[in-house]
Amino acid sequence: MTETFKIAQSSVPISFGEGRRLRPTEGRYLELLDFLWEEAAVLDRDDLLGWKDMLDQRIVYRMPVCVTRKRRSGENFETETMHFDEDYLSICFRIRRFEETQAWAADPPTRTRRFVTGVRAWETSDMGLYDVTSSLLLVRSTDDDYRTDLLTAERFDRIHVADDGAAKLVERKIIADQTTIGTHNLAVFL
Amino acid sequence: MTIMEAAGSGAAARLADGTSMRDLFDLDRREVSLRVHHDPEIFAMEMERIFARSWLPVAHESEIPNPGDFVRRYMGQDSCLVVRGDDGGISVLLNACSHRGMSLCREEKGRASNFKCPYHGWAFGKDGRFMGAPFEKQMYGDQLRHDVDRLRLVRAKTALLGGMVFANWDEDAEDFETYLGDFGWYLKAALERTNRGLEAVGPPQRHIMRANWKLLAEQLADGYHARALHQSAGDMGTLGHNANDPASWGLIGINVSTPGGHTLRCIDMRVTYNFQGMSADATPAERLAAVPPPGADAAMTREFPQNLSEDQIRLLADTPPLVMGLFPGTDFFMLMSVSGSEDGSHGPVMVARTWIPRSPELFEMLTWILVERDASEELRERTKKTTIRNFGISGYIEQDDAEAWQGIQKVAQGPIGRRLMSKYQAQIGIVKPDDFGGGGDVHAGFSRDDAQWAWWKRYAEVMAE
Repeated sequence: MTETFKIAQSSVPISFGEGRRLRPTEGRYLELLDFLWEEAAVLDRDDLLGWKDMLDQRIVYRMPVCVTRKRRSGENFETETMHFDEDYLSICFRIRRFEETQAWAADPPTRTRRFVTGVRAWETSDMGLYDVTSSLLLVRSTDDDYRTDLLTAERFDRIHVADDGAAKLVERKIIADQTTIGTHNLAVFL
Repeated sequence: MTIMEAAGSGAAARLADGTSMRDLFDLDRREVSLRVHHDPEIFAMEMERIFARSWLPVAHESEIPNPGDFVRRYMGQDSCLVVRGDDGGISVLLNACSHRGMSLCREEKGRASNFKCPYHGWAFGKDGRFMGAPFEKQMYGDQLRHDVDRLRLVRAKTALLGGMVFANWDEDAEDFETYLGDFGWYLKAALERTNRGLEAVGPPQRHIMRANWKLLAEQLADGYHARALHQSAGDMGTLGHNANDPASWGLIGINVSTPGGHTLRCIDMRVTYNFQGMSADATPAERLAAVPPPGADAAMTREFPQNLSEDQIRLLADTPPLVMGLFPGTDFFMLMSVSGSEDGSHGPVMVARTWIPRSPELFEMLTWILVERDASEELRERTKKTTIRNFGISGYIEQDDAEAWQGIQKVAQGPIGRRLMSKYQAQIGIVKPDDFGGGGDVHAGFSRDDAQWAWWKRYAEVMAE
């Protein structure tokens, strides 16, 4: 069974998950899974330069605003406005700000733990390029506050695996489960 | 009289421990106690005295273009429906069935020919009129037919500015033009400059902030924080190109306030911007065409004379308003030449925001991104991206501001902390350049505390009378 998702204003074909679904026993599936786990660990230890190395320079990184709609409204939950609307150079800008300047929102660093589950992957018509979806639970705590922010989202990724096995994130669309985001900023990458 | 009894009346109010609202202000020294950001009684009073009676922004009219289109928003803690009617007008209706108070609408956005209550099925039109009830004859006979006017949905009065729909629950509150006062001149120059005007890119971003709403509202006239709080923006080259020059931090300009508590900040383009290659005799129109204001292009500037006076055009050319705040719950930011990418590009920021108080230490922010309807695809994309990257939930400039709001809120949690007085002694007084066409209380020069104190004076007036 194939599932089709609409990627808003995407520079790549708008269908998602139409190719052959990888079985979880396949080597390639396990490599993609490991890529997402590695990415989560890199971000959780605040290694932003390491994360940058996992990104393809063509990357389109978006998080659409979503609104609650009736089941049969016939229109999408997601909209054309964005919480995040990034490309490689804008991500580099953010990373340089965190790494090299006095960015109060991130110093001391906010602590995060990303739980990545529910990973499913499909081949696409491009050799080496995979559609990968995953569920993200991000738990965030700041300073000595015992309260944590929880963010959950589904991520729709395009990941490219080169002949030598090196993987890079080419595209990500993040669909959060909340329409009112329950944290005070997105100074963290999802 | 308790706070709760006084909340709806005009009488002087005392908090449960005997403190009067007046005690929390030192009007001579220009200081206000941090207690106002923490006290639940004060919060309850604000909901009645301010949010139930003020002009608040609920939607951009471009979000509901067709009859039946609606969005569901908040005015204070009351949920409302903003609905486009068959005649093209807009109704703002309390989202509550008049029968037993059930929440009427369960989506944030949609299209409806009428609103039907899930509980007993009472139906209301797009303008809130009562249409009918199931089994009406058997249940009510003729009763409801004699009561149709009383059964309509509660309705707010509405007004438009730059396409933003403003609403006010209080029928007796001053009309919108009176509310704007001298501010209308500045806002219309910024927001109603072209023939086709502005539209919102889509629905607003929504997220929470762990702070009292007033910490945002009163900060809008604060220019002084730029160098310290937005130091990273300086390091990234967006602001403060010359770290020791106040003008490069946007600190030289014109602050304006009104007795109604509205505040705005204009920067002086002649000091802050290098009009390279332009003759000193260039007219305002020529300068605007060469360096169009945020979100506009040269062709649009040729429409300005059709919509704005010469003085307003000169305002945009010489001392454009950047940060505009309406008391109590609205702001507009129009910034030019902001960065956000390592490709060195710059773009405009055009943002409208409101804040929904949820508790003394929590509010919700709504952030709309605005573009000119006639913007080219390139300008539209550049405006969207620059705005989102700098402001809103992932905005890197706004991240710093939230640290201040939340940092003060932490101090207000403790009894010693909330005895601290927030201080506004830096005053420049009325300094109005001879050729300045705008009204209100004008404070030209280094950005001091005058306009912020005007906000607090208005707050004190509304809360302590």
